[in-house]
Amino acid sequence: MVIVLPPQVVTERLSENSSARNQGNESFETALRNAANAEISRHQYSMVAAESLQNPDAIVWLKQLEPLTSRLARGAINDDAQLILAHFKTLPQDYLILVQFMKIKSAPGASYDAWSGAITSGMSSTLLQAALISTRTGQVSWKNEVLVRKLFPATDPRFAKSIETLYQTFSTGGGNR
Amino acid sequence: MKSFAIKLSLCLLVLAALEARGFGKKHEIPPPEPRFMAISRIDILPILDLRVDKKDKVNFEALSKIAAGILQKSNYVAYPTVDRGTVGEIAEEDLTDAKPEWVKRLGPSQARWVMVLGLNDVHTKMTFGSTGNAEMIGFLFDKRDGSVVWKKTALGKQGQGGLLGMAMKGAMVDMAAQTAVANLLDDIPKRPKGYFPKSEPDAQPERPPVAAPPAPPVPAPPPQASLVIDSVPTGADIEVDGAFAGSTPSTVSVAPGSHQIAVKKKGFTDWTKTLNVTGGTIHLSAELEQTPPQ
Repeated sequence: MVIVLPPQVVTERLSENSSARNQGNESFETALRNAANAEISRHQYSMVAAESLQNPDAIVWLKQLEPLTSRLARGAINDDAQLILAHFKTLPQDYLILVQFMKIKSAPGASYDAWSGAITSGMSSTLLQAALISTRTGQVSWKNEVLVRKLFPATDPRFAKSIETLYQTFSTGGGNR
Repeated sequence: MKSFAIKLSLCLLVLAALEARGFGKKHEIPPPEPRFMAISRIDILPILDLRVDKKDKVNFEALSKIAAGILQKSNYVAYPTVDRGTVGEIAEEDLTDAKPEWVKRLGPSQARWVMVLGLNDVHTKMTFGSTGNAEMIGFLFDKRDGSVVWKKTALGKQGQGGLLGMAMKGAMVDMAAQTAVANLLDDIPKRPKGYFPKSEPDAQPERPPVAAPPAPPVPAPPPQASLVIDSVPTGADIEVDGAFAGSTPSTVSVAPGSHQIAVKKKGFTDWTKTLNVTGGTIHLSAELEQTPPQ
């Protein structure tokens, strides 16, 4: 049984001397959610919606995990996350929690320096991270990340390819289906 | 008469507009904010490698030294330190969402102002030559109240065309990262030369009310003493009061008072001395003894 946390998408606009950060992008969030659903079904696991959990406390614990998405998706379980995950051990069933994070970084594009003759490249990139956490062990059972030095729209086939690469090694590591 | 009155009114209006825009007034450079003037010493933590793509090798030690050099040029006492404190591994989120309680556990226990710099990304590319790009983040924390004094993100770009550029590709990573450090620290306000906070930082008042006139900085002579520290063999780490202050041979500036000096090198027994410094220049030579093989 896999619970998918809402994917978190962060957009960061960089300039030489500053940065601006925005959270949320519906089209990318939908694309990530769909990819996660497809992957879970492909592995014949059932997906559980957080709201459908019988224990109301579990819904609260999942909500508490959401602000930690960027850490969890790269497999970093800090003290706060450990405390929250420990609560899940009181539930009659074990779950796997899938966490997805995406950072879209846009920076000044390529430029030509007439003095040195160099063409400098841009710093834009797209980072995709995902991790699967077992509530039984409180540990990461799978994680992967993909860094693409380009910006893609959510509908671009190359973005779909990046998600495919992210989930290429996906494994639930056994456990309760 | 009527046209004269109109002309006079117009002249007065123009003058009033110019006055409002500050014409005719002397351009005054505002003094740095009181919170920057209160800083007695900045401890720079080892630079964090926050990269996802870590394939390029970066000289992090050199970046710390460059950061310390830039701050020293702006008349701050700043040293790289190896002591990260009791916070464990530091992630980007720890910095961006820093809680006061976490900040208080950062860096050497006796330090008050701690600077954390992180390399977010760096990459090089072959074009008609080669280019390097780096992204860095920086935070300056005040451990007394756990607040963020300064934070910034900056990019660094380097490029060189032609065959020379192609030959320089390997160096582009460090060059871009160094440019990013310089861009990052370029808005730390420069303090008057020779400036040192008059009293201990704890005695500094909280931020003064906005309406209060800015207190002119008193260029007090820096109450510093110099320690010329050498060792046999050389290349040992120097620690002053538990904070890394350089490698032997080096000259280190300290405030008068009691200081614990340690000289450490791998494979040798630590050399320590407690000094009561009053001023002037003191020469120290540490003869390090090899640790007996275990």
